[in-house]
Amino acid sequence: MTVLSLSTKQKYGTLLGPNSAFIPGHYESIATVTVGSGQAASIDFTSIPTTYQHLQVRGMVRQGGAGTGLSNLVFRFNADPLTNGDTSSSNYVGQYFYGNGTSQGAGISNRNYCSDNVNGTATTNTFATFVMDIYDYQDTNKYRFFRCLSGCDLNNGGEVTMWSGFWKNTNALNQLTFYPDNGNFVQYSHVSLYGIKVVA
Amino acid sequence: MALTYEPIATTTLSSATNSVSFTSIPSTYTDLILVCTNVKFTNSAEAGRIQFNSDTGTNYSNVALGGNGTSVSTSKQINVSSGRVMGAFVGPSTTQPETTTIQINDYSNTTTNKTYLSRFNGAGTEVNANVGLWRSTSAINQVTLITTAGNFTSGSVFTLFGIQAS
Repeated sequence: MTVLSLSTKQKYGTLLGPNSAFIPGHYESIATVTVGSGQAASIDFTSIPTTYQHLQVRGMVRQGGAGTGLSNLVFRFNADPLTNGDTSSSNYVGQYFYGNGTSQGAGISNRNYCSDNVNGTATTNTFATFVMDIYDYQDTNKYRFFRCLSGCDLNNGGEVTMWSGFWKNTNALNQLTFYPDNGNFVQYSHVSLYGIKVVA
Repeated sequence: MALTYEPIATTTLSSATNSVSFTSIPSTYTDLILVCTNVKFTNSAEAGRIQFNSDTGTNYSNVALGGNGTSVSTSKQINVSSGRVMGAFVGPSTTQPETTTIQINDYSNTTTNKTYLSRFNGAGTEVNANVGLWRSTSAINQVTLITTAGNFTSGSVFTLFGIQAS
């Protein structure tokens, strides 16, 4: 079979003509939220598609609340707890392991924390960064599990933390919300949600 | 949905060297991921380190957390001329290949300092996590990995990926 390209006026032995094959990727951008000058009380991802196997969240955040050091980033799945900013939900449990350059430690969190965060009067223009993985987010046979690597360095003050935890609920995840535990997200904070497919 | 996560460049060392650079990094991505595999060192005395945009000033700082099978350690460095990304405590291996993944989020913005995360995996030495700060609001267009003692050995592989958010 011969195909005549209307653009190159040349003949090709494939329907692709002079074009390379389109190979669909397995890591796709779903949505991004970037905080503007007005700050934001939360960063929300709603109606998360069901077409992926896993989710990854990548971001950098800073909060406007008073304080010079580090704080925590709070999250919730499917609007549980109902109130934004609520860190008292008993539906989450997790482990964390951290080092701050002077001391290290580990603990169990019964709160819905997932990452380091930076307080409002810490080193200017410095943000915490994190990469969070949420596996099998639609599997209704098990709890929703996540892990996260996060950290922030303030040039003499900072912390790197590994987190792992789960939401004690088997519902498919369709909504993900992040909020600070002190004040609002400041301008330039941004969080991106990605979906990862597996080969059928 | 936007497709993303693309390889930008790969370097496989054909001879030992103490520096590997990725230059002219396009600004079209949101985040960078630098994956270092099959990496061995000719000297175990020093960690692998990172610099951005050829900046050798004392504009870097970092915090490390690591374990070596016996103990857990943390340490920090401030106002140093490069950031630590590999082998923070025991030092890297001269015999066993090791892997490191470095995450540089929002690398091209021009309003914030740049923070990176790294995870070093040395099966025969240590595992560690690092967070580092480069106190510059410049967009990152060059990433350089260095050793300050010895070299990366021949066969070490360094691949830079870009992730683009929608």
